Amino acid sequence: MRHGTFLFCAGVLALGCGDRSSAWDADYESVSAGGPPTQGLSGSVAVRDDALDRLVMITSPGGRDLTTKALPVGKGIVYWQTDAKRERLFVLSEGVQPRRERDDEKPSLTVIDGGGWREVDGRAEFHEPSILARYELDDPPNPVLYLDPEGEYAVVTVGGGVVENPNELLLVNLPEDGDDEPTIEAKTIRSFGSSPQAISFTKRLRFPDGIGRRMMIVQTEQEVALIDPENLDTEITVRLSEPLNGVNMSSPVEVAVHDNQRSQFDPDDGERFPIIAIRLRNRSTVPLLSFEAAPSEAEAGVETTGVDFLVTVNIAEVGSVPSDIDFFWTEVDAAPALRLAALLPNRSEVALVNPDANYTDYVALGAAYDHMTRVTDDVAVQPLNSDVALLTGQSVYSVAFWELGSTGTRSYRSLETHSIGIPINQIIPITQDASAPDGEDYGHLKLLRGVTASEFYVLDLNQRQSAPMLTTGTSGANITPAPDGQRAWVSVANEEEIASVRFSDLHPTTLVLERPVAAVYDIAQPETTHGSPSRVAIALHIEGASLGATVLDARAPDTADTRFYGGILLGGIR
Amino acid sequence: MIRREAGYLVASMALMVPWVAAAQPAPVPSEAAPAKPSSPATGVAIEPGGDSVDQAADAPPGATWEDGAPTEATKAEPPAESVAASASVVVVTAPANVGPSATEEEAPTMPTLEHLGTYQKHTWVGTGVRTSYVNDPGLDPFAETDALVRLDVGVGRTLFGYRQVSLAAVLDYAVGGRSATARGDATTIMAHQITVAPELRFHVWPRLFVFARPAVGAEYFRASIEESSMNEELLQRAWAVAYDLSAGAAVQLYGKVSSDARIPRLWLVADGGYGWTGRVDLEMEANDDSDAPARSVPLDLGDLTLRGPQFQIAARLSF
Amino acid sequence: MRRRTSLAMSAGGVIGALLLGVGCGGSDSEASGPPGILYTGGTSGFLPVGTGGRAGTAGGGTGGTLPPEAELEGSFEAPIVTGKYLWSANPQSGRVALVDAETLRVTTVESGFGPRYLAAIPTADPEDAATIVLNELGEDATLLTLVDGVIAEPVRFSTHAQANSLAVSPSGRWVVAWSDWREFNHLDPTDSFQDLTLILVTPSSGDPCATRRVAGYRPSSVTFDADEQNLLVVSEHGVTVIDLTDEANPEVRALVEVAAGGLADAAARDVVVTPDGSHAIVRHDDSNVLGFVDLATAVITDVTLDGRVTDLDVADEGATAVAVMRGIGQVAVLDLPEAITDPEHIHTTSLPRSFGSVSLAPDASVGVLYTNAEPTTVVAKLSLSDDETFLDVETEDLRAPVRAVLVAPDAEHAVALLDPPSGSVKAGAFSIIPTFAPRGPKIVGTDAPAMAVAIAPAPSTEALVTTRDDVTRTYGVHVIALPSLQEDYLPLVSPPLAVGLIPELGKGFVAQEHPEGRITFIDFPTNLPSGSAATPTARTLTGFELAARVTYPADN
Repeated sequence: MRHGTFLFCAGVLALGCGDRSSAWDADYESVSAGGPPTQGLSGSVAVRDDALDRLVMITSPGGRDLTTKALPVGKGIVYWQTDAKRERLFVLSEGVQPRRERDDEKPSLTVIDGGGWREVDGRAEFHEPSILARYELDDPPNPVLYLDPEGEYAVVTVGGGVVENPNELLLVNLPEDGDDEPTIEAKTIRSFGSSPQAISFTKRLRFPDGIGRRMMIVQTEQEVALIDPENLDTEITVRLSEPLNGVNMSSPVEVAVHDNQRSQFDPDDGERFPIIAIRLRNRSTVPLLSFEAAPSEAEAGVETTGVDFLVTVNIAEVGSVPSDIDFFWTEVDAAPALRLAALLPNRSEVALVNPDANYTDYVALGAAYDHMTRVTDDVAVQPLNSDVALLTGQSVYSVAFWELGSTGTRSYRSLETHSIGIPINQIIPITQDASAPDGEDYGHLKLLRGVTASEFYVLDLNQRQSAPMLTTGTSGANITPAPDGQRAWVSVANEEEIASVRFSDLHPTTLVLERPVAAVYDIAQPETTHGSPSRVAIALHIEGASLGATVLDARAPDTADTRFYGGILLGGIR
Repeated sequence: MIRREAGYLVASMALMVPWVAAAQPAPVPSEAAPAKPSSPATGVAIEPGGDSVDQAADAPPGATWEDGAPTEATKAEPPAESVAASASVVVVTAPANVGPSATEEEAPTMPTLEHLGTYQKHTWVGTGVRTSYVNDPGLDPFAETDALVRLDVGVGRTLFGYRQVSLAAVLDYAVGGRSATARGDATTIMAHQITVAPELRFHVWPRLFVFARPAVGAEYFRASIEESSMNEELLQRAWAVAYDLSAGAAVQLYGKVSSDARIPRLWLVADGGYGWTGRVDLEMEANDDSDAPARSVPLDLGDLTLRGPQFQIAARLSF
Repeated sequence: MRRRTSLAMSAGGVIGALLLGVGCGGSDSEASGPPGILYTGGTSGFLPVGTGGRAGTAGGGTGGTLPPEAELEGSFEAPIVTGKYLWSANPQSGRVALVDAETLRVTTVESGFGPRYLAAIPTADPEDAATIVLNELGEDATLLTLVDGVIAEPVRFSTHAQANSLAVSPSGRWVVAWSDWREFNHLDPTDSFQDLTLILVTPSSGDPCATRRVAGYRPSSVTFDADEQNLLVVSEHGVTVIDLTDEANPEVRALVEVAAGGLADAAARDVVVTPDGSHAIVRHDDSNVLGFVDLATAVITDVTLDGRVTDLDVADEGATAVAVMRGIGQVAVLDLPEAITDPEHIHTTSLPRSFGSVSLAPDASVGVLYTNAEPTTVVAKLSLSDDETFLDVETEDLRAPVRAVLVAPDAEHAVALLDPPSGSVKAGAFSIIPTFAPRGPKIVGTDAPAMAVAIAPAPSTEALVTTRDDVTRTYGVHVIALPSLQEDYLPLVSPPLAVGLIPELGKGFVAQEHPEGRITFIDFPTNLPSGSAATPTARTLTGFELAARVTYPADN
């Protein structure tokens, strides 16, 4: 009997010994919150793999090849976002909650370099996606992240728990390419009963104390705070309302900042300092903040310690609740003059406010435009002293080209309207990165799309023409311009057909792939042997538990020249 | 899947049950008392100093007499001296309960280690369960544990024997596999191994020998995955060289004492060692006639090397 | 009947002319005069009713009798100017905003509970500024001073309840808070409003202090005599004379009846005190008798004129009074105080047509006669110069019915507010009348009724006229250059509240209705008086309170 016992034990032992990574048992989890499941960067595509607390970065070394690299980002992804240049990714993770053991992972912010092919000193170099930095947080972060467009800062808020301080911000000083030690500072902003609703960053502005500084603008329900991210003690709070009996709160919904500088200005005419305009919810008044040198203490009569300048507040009356505000240059007496434009769809007008005089002029638009975009830099013929704006509206079947400046008694130079078949609620700009071929600049094109329309338009700002692009039967199409500014990709979730629209001749190419497409991304590749830039399009297919990709030439897409990669999420587990 | 391995184990065990049962030790015959000097009417008078033949005393414990007749191999020839010594002895017929009479066939006896006979020189067939412990990560997509259980079938024949040492040739075939899921995609892997090996044996006892066996051969892998994005089964088939080095022991569970006749003997073999196969790249691809997307790139699941300690429990039937 | 009081309280500050008085003649129920548009002085010209300006009693006539002339009243709710600073009170926040008209820098300071009424206080140093603020809800007053650019610690004084008016002595040494019954609705006969709070701002020793005194029933005006020895309070009882000699204990020296029979006909009379404080002149509706009350002796001397006096005006210099007798078409010029006893000092002349009101230049060199009891487009310039032109009358047709006339401090021009004539598409009009220059008046039609006027002090080179139409939401200010009569229009975003000028800065301002406070500052081009091609430019400052809500770093 001992033999039998031994045999049996041997078999049991065989069945039970050894183990494999639990990752193999983790099915792909579909992303339901905290951002999209995939994001396109300039040189790679990132796929969120929440089940394994990682990102799978997809790059292309050339041709139709794909490589993947898995980067751990901390347990419990809460939110992720790319920066404005689409070169870095920011991932917030909540860690193990609640923590019981010392080695339970803490919440964190992970900064990832998307990698891919980039121009460095005129040469294309391939960079592996990598983790640039990881910051541990003490508390679980909220699913929101405020990023500085210039890539220097990120702001995280933490929450959850029995007590939460919504005014506590964590300012992350982002490293440049791994240089410098990353820093994270906590700042509880001054509060008068409200909490942050939006945060933005200005570029470097020159203030009356002679210091050039960037400002972090924090909008709360009733205040706007200006904080120097390089010196968090420099905090100026402008309370927009005093919630007294019968007085409604003035809530900021948009902040426009202008440096008020122009090369044509003569320094002898006096120094010019930034101007900030604040659009308020349901208010026809727009507070304007300007800056002036602080007087000597004997003159001031006010205590302004901490900064050597004063913030003056002037309220502009624009006549109706504006839907959009921005600063524009216009021309007065052959010289540039700054104006605050406030779109008034209720009156089909735009108010032009002289911020110095606080004087408002009105321009009739003839239609209820509710959004304006400065396109001065995108048109071929740029006025010398004034701006050009593109006006669109969600209830208007036209677009307007508004060229500022003054002619005679009119406070603008021209207002040209063009009919368009759909009301526009989104303007997609055509941007270009370093991979764009010389001389092929389509920045003067804009993609216009409506809410539910099954078409979009390609608007040529130079020719003042709009070309409809019909997406028959696909009202929910995703339209993504390629980073090199040469084409746009159109796809519909869970459909196998995608399209590429070439900007050079607006030729659309429909491609029928072999699996339903979740998203299409266009990333750079090294130059071909002929020296021409190369790009590859990656169409992602998310099927249940797996992710696949079809790779094709972005510039000349051909379904007969594709390559399919399956099981992308199975990589990186060994 | 783990059920397959369990099935192998249960099957092996089931096959072995009758052998195990049959291998229960036989009641040890009581030692035949030396023939007593019988009464003058019935006994054998033995001169002092003479030896008597006591076959039973030589029989190993548990040995049985199958038909009561000793085999030729086990039949011990009475020493000549004892015959001569009995010239002056009055032979009296022993009583029936003493043992076979001298007039019956001579009882077979256990061979000596110098002459092991068919204990050593035989041909056998065997079957068993080989369990390998493979901690190569290449197996992880296909198995939740590191164990690879295979059904092993082998044949062998002793080529050369000298005294206690013998050399046999073995041809072995093992087949086994695992199945699991890889992030929700069903996976399987089957491994077929054929090896040839010399088996160097040393009989500690006629019914017990130890051996060492270096084997070399080839392994054939078939791995598959039901990849969701392609919605197709992806396969990888590959050959790899296989090496084994094992050592173990075999003990006879059943068989006649005599070493002369070729009679079946049942051996229980246990060995352990280390197995190794060449690296196999797990580049999984769809069949040409499948509906996978055109120009699908093989799914690279890394590579696999089946290496690791292993042990085996087998039964051999030699003859 | 009005006595002009200049509120140029500091050397640097300039305001328009203040017209202060009590509604004359008739009762409210007979009102049929101008359509509820009333005028204020204060720091500016005129204010419309509803913003604090008092309603004049434009009494209606009976059976063909013309109604009384409309009066111009003062208001203290509008911002006031001291030097180059504007003070504006926000009753909601309890703060007073100090606006530097030169830099537009705003400083706010806590005043009290419900600050509402302001009065400028003259300061010795033109660079300094001071104001007294009545905190309506807190029933106290706050003295705010700006010295060397720094606001000193506010000084608070308790006042009597329901104080809503302020009177400041010419030197600024005394401020009297009193209650003007005309600001209240639904009065009970026992609402006497007799309390006064006398605030000694600059005592000869010790700290500023306040004392309470009681005057007659329902005071209608409070003035100081020229040397600030006496405080004269006109009420229905008569004139209460309070001796200020003992600053620690001002004494109610006398209550001088101003009419035989005491309180009889109190509502139907008009009382004005001469600038020197020696006499009170009483005019009765429908009477050709002027009562001159010697405030020292309480002796009443009646002076009978040829016709019923519809308006009586006393020049700032105090030596000339002009009485208009609409019924007989005559005007009488009285040399004060001689005319009280010597009829030779009463000079009468006939007028080419019927006028009921007069507006005098501060130096009494000219008066402009007009009437607003009936639509009349004609005004008459009455020369009061002591030369051969004395009592010369020259009429001007302004093409539109006249509502009010204000003569510039330098007497060179007058501004008339007009109603739109029949057949006009305009909502209002005004006219600038050269009083001496041989030029015709300039008539300007406006898109909204003209509301208020402010004229620069002598030499009066600019004038501002605000227009307001709440129905069409049309608001604006006309900038008039004098003597070129160039007129420029600047639209306003909000209803104008008050208008004024700051000549030391070459600016004008229009305070407007806005919950956060709004003032438009108007820069006059340098050559504007002589006719400049450049036009005035405006800068609007809105949101005084916001500047106070800017919080800076705690410390550095």
